Amino acid sequence: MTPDPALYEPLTNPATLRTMAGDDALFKELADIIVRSIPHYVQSLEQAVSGKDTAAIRAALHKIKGTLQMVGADHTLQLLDAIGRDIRATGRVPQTGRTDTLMAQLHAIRAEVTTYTVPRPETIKSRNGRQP
Amino acid sequence: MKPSDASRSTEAIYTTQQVAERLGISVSTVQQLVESGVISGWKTQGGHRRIPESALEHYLSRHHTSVGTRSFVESDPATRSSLLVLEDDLVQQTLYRGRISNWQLPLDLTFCTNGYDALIEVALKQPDILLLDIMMDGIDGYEVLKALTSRPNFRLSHIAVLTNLSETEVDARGGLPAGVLYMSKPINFDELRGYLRGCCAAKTRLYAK
Repeated sequence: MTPDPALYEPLTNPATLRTMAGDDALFKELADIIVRSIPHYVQSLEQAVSGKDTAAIRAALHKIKGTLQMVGADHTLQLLDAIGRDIRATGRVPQTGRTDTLMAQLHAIRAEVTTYTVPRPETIKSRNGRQP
Repeated sequence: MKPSDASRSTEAIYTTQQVAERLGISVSTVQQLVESGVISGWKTQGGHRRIPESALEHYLSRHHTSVGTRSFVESDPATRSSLLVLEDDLVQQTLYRGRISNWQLPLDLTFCTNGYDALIEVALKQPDILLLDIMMDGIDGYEVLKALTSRPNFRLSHIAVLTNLSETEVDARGGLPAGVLYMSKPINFDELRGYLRGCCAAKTRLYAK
């Protein structure tokens, strides 16, 4: 079985969001809102899947797609697009395994984006400005 | 506006036609607002919807608090362009607000998060530019466009659709009305900036004549 690369490689690319934002302040603001929004996206998707509501699943996927594009989550976008194509082709609710994987990746993406706004460790200086 | 039926209580009760006139939207949109529970109302035995004044006032107060406008450059209000963005996703709203505010354009930017608010905002303020998403809860961007372009006195000069749907998917849903610009997400902000600059310049030229 081929291992899921999502388990071993970063799912997002901070440079994508930085380019999209254009400046550091907006980059941080967006990262913060994305971190807060992902649980709502996951909840909407979970409810739509458990309710077997294909229209609601497609709406949830559509909303998630915009955010995935912003953080450069190409691998997860492919999965999301594949689920969307399946729904369009079959008119049926996707297999729960695939939506579970998508939700797990969304949680992992949230964890990654959380680190975007963590200040990088600076070189520690002593009070007189010299290295300790 | 005279209430049509005040017999149930001392409160004024309106028909959908009266509410449509007050809000500047179509009767069918008012019917949708009532059916979806956005505006409280009831049906008569004959199936006609009735809306109490308090429900209408409540809706209007919510509309005014949910729709906020921001200006980015001080200039003559007559030459400024008004931009209405219809986008229900907070992440995308933040992105648009942040980018557009940095461009220093003579714009007043207003956000609506649902199609109903957008229809009312367009009717009340007639913005110069409308940017809208297509896929939304409730009435979507297509229905908003359809409702707007079917109005007899429709005068919005610039409309662009910002969407995750491909042009093929948009065409499969019936395409866009003539003159409506398509922009795919993720948005190319150089393209959007150029478009908005052009719109603002057109408004300025109009008043310079």
